[in-house]
Amino acid sequence: MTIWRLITEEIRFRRLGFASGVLSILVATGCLIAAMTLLRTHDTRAERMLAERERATREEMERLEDDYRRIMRDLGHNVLVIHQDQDLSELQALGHPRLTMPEAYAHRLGLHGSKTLNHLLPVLQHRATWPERGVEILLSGTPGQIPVVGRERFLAADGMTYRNPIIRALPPGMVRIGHSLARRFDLKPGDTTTLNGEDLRVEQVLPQEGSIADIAVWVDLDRAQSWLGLEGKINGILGLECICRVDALGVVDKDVRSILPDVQVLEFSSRVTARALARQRAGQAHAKALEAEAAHQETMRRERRLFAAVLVPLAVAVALIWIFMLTLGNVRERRGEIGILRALGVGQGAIMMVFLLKAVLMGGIGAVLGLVAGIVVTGLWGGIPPDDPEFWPHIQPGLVMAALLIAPALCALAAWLPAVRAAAEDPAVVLRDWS
Amino acid sequence: MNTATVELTGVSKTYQGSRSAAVAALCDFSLRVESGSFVVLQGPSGCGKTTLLLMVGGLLSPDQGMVRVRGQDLAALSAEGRAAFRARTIGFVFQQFHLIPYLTALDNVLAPALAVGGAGLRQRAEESITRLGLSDRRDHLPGELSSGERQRVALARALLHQPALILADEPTGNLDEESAMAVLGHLRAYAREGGAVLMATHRTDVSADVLVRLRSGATVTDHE
Ligand SMILES: Nc1ncnc2c1ncn2[C@@H]1O[C@H](COP(=O)(O)OP(=O)(O)O)[C@@H](O)[C@H]1O
Ligand SMILES: [Mg+2]
Repeated sequence: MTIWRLITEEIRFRRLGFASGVLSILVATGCLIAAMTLLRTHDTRAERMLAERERATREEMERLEDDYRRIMRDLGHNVLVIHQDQDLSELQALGHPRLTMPEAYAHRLGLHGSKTLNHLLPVLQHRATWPERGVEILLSGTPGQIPVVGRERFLAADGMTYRNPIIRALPPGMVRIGHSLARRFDLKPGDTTTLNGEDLRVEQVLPQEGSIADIAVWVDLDRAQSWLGLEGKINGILGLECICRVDALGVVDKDVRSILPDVQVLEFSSRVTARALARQRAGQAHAKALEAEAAHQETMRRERRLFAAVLVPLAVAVALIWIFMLTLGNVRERRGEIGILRALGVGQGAIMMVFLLKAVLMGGIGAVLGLVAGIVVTGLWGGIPPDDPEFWPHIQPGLVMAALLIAPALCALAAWLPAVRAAAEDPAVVLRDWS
Repeated sequence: MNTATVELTGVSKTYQGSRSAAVAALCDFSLRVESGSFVVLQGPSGCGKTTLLLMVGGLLSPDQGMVRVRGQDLAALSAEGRAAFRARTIGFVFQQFHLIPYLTALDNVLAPALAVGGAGLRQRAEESITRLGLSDRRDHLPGELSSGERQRVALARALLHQPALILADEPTGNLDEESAMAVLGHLRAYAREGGAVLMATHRTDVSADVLVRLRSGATVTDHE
């Protein structure tokens, strides 16, 4: 016969009481583990959700940007950088700048990382005659967009060409034809035509614009320069999709002229600016929606924390009070037994131990079952299934260890006073009461 | 003069009632119980028999006088010391049996091992159960036993450590005549084998080696 056997036999005899004690600890530990773990899984889910939204928003913004870029290309260009001394009425009359600048200007603007211009397109445009057809054309050459330092996000892997250019570079041997010319000579993409004695393939027919652009013939810059006898020269830099605010021009002008002192900057369509503004607004609205969502998540999180902060201590308190009452009742019920054990020579320490060990056992078993229950609850309601590799890291080993150690200790504490009372029972009184 | 198993000299005990007057349960009481003798305390209810047994068992301290068991002055021991001494030296039998309800008959008999362990206790318990005619009851809970069987289990428990002294308080009080006779027979046999038995009863028909008649205050001792 040992104290241990006495305890286990008594537990077997009064299963219900013991089970209710275990249950109370199970609930308390389960609440603790589930609350702490659920808080973490909720955080993870909120993070995932926000990241997903952010990604969706970013994608949508990118799509939106592409749309606007296309719209802006169709509408025209935001700014045009031309020679400082170019007379503007002359520009109007000619349909192109007369004065030229070194081609290197465009590269300098790109290399210095213009703050306001995302896309740079050097052009050389000049009225000329199509000798083979005998008509006046606006001969236009461009090397395609040149990279701008700081805007590498627009570039392809080679770091030189644009991933999604607003105006594609023309491969040598290709030609892009303005709307009127194409109509007049019945030219379609894929046709071959001769210009200055060279056979060129029509790459694209440009949409009608109702301007001099309708008689434009676009070729690569080198070809245009050599035909016009203007090697190494351009007469304009189109600043496409500039970082547009309503008062953009002054800022762009300052920015560009800090790099190229002898140029002037002209603004193009104001509709473009309006669109850019709209796009900016859309971006802001998205950002605000995201912020609101994040704030909402934060509020929910705080509410859940508050709930856990109330629920867990409450469950623990109820469990400990229950263990206290249970042990007190157990001591009352077992007064006769305590009396006879004392008469048989069992010491007071051993009597205390009988009740304390029983409480520790309740705490230990309850904690283990509560841990399992907490994990099951998290698996069911945490939103992250247990087969997700991220599920198990949410269960903090420290918390588990603490629960498994602290639950029995707290139970022993709750049972302490009743156990002391049991040890203090006077066997002389008890045995008399019972006989 | 050789040492008596129990030696009471001038023992008095007065209960300080919490809400009533003090009750003098025993007054200047002296008694010797020699080993191998069956001593019966006989007297009406309330004359102090239980009080006396509790004092001999070291569960109650006298106000005056000395209690020696096998030469040991119980007052000289600490509470834990008395418990250890009691575990080895004294067996108890009560009117209400005081069996532990969730232990089988065998485990109840082995309960004294909680205080003092030892080799061969289980075998002794089983022998004892057999001798008391309970072999087919050893795995039953007290609730499943008759009163007579319960008291025999209690007796077997008292005998486990083969104590020098058995204190029996009204052991037949809740038993039918046949069971009572059986229990008395076992107690008498234990005394005959060399143990001392001090039994309290209000029965007047019990034969004893020494019969102590207690009345309020006065004591008459008969030796047979
Ligand atoms: N705790 C107590 N407080 C007051 N009086 C008590 C107490 N215990 C016993 N008594 C009184 O002491 C007397 C002796 O009691 P007891 O030893 O139980 O007698 P018996 O066992 O012979 O019936 C009785 O009058 C009883 O009422
Ligand atoms: Mg009595």
